[in-house]
Amino acid sequence: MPSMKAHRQDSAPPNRRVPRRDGDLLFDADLSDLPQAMRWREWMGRVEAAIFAAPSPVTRDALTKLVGRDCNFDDLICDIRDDLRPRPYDLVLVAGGYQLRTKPRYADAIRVLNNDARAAGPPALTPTELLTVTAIAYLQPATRAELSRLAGKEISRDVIGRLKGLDLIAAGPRAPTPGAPYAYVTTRKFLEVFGLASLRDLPDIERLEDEGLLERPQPEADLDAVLFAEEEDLKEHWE
Amino acid sequence: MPRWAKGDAGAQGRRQDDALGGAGDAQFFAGAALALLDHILHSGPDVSSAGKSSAEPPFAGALRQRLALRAATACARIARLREDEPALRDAEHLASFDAALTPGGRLHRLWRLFATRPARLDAPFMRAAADCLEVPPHIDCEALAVLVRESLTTENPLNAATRVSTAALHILDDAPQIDAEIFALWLADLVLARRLGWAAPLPLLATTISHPSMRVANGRRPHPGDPDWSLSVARAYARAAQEAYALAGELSRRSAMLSSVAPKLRAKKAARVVDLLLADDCVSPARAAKTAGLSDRAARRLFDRLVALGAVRELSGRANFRLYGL
Repeated sequence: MPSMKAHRQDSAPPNRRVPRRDGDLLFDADLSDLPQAMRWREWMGRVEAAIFAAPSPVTRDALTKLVGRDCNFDDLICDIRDDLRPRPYDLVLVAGGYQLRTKPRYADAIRVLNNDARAAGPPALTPTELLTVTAIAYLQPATRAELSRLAGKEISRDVIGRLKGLDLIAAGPRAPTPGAPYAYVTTRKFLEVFGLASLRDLPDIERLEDEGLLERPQPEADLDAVLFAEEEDLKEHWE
Repeated sequence: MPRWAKGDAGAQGRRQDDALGGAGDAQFFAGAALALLDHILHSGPDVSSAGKSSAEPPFAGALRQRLALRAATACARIARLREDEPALRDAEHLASFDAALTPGGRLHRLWRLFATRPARLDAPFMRAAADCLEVPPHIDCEALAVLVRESLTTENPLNAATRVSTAALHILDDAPQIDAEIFALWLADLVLARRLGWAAPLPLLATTISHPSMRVANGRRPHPGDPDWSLSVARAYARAAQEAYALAGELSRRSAMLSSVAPKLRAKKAARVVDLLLADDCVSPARAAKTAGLSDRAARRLFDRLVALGAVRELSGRANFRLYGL
């Protein structure tokens, strides 16, 4: 929703205490002349505004420059999240930075408009593609043969090609089996669109481990049930 | 290694109920084992003149990279990745140069940094390490470099390693906990090696810190934030240095064997391949061919001949996609 963003940027904050930022030198991060409560509100506003206006996730380090040194940044983020609870969008940590995203249940409403709102969540994937990318995330590096064995059906080159085209996976090392097939790994973009901070945030990884499904020797068990169980959570997010 | 330095009846076997005595014992055995290892690392071209030279032995590269593989395997287990030692070795040595790294491959690269880049204690080197771990990009590498340089002033090398690993956790606050822990182990090895005057660090601490015998109270593996971390560091270094010493002994015999058969090799540029074998954990025929300017077939024949002469081993156990090493 770029247009909406621009709109909110233009309407200047009511409280224009901040000196104009022509030189960074003039920017007052500490706000020591304000009382404690007002200072906190101002910091919250700044951080949220910066995240709102940014085209990509903003790192914590960049954001800490906007607030005073004695500000507990985690508490600040918590307060902003509390404020946003009744709003249709949310502050999320993705791929190492903060971003504002609409709540998944409004995905349909946004899609009806069919303007150029950018889907921040996973692109529309077929069930096979979703299964494939999920399996790669858990089992990486995994070859097409391994994935096919896991899925119980042939994972075609087209599926792999489409996922590669979407930059969700990349070709990793070549497996030492006949034909030296590529083993695939997930990319940073994958973390971003699925809203994961790191691969260790994959859902149910402990349960899969306890059941021995992530062991190196290929399991005979059928993973479909487990891998599809989370499909409900993967509704699109929009930004 | 002399029996008294192994401490079988001492720190290794004993539970650490008596913390003070345990700490003294552990530090003693760590010191003894590190001294012996230091001797090897200063043995120069001929191992029989151990400790008398300032140069590293010819097999130092192989020792360093094999320990890097062990460290990466241990870290992959800590990070609960699916990749084990053979998988990590394959991913490193069979991948083409533009292949995307696997999660375990990144950890492996972190430990291989000790050999592939001069270990300078500055921000760019810290950055390179941070990139391997994919910690958040805003980690303050300059602060890490300053911390490392400050630790060098600590009298006792073991204490310096302990201090740097504990203090680094505060700088790595934002990183996922496991990545911060692995980074701390890496920094400890870096500082220890610098304090001992080694040409490049050896991956040691990470190879043993997650070993079952190192577990602290309630069966957890030691963590740099623990109150008794210094005791854990001493015990882990004692064990790691003993294992590295044993590995160095084995590699020394194998490298002597390799240099004794080297004159019998008639392949062109065989000397170059011998150098490669001494400098890395293992070498694929394709890489040997590329580096030495041999044809693929010539490289394969050269390795077959080396195996027949008993100078190198095939490490993967496969009939194809073979990897050869000391």
